[in-house]
Amino acid sequence: MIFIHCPHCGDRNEDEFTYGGDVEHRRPDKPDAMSDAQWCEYIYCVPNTKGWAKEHWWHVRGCNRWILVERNSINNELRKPDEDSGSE
Amino acid sequence: MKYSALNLAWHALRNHGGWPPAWRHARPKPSYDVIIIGGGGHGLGAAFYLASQHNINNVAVLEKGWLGGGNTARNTMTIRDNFLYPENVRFHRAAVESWHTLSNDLNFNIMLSKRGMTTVLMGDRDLSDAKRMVNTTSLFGAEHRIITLEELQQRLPLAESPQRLPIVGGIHHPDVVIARHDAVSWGYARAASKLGVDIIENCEVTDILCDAQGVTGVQTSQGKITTRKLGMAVSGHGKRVAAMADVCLPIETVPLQAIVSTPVKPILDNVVVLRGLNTYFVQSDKGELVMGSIAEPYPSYSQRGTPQVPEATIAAILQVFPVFERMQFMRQWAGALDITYDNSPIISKTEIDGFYVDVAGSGGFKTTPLAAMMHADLIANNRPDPLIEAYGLERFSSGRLILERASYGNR
Repeated sequence: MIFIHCPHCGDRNEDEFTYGGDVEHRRPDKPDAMSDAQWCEYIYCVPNTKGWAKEHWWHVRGCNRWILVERNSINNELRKPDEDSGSE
Repeated sequence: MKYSALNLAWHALRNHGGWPPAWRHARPKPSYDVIIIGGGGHGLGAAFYLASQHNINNVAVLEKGWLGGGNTARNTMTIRDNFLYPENVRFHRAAVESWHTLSNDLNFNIMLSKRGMTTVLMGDRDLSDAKRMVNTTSLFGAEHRIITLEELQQRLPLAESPQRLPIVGGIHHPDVVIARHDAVSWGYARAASKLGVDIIENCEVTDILCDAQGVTGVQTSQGKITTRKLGMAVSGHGKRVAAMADVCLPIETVPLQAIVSTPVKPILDNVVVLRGLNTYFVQSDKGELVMGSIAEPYPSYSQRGTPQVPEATIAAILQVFPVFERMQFMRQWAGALDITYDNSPIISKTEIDGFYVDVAGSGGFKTTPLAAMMHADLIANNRPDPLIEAYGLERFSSGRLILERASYGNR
């Protein structure tokens, strides 16, 4: 069990959270201007980083807010992301 | 050396001191006709079929660690064909059959054991889904059938039917087999090596070299090796290796756990699936209960997995099989599974000429011989066999996905 640090609730069990994807994987700014090939790339070429990556997590069974987490996908080690608050 | 009863007796008399190594430990040559990245079942199998079916013997298999040390060692041995979509049913039916002659083809006992699988169905939803699956697979000749509660109890005499679980019946899949996973990679390695294939362990591919015509070679921890045809049979790191050739594969790496108990005497013949509880288990030939579940809820390369998955798996089994209450938990592991967004495999050419991939089997152990054969055929002839046409990478841009629900990656 890993503990995920929620800036609002403190360290909580991981099963209170839902993974929300890599921060680098941004929704396109101008969806209407995208070609089919670009859409395919956006949908299917997700980062899948091995090592440290900044991620969105949703504290769905907690304060229900989206937070930023930095996680090492090799061993699921966590650290606080450099920007302190990513909550919306 | 051919393995036979006579040879076994002869070596027994000599105290088993004189067995030769099963395969040659090769050093890389500067160039090969085909290079396969990944020395698991799929990669070694592809090399074996290139040599045995296509007369391409100047082949190397490059393995980062040791043979069969990746997901070939990290699966639950179960070989099944209960899928939902025609493309997958057809492929997995043929894959199950491809195991039957493997011990003979390789002259290596892969310890194939025909167990049959019994799926426990809970509630009307399970039952109607099961009918759909049985009807679909029967179109392709599978003998799966719905069984009544009485027959279910006969097949699984140890199972109890707790009041709170609405067990309504089951499915019997007579064709499901298990095989000794290590023997698969060792058998392929030995047979391929005998046909001249170079098996190079501790050789990590660090870059894929290309020019305007396509693949030209690979850079490895043991130097540069040139080739015009490169096959990749990598699990867990498929996306990273393909990225070396600037090919973006539509996969994510997710751990899939398994749990093993201490060995006990034979008590369970079938592979048991508790469908609604996302759990299955089987007793191995060594006597351990091998238990598996669904993939982890988030991507990771960690080969450990989260503790809540084994907890839920064991809880599910104990609800229906309280007889196992005092079994000892021995070990637990996770394999790094490459999962596509439609949960179906990729056996395909890529946009780089001469670069082929066989990845994301979503529990690819069960398809090892057939996928390897098809991969070898694709490399040799540069066009996909009709069996794997649907598994091309182009399905992601055309939108013709095969949204399989009957695989581990289901989410």
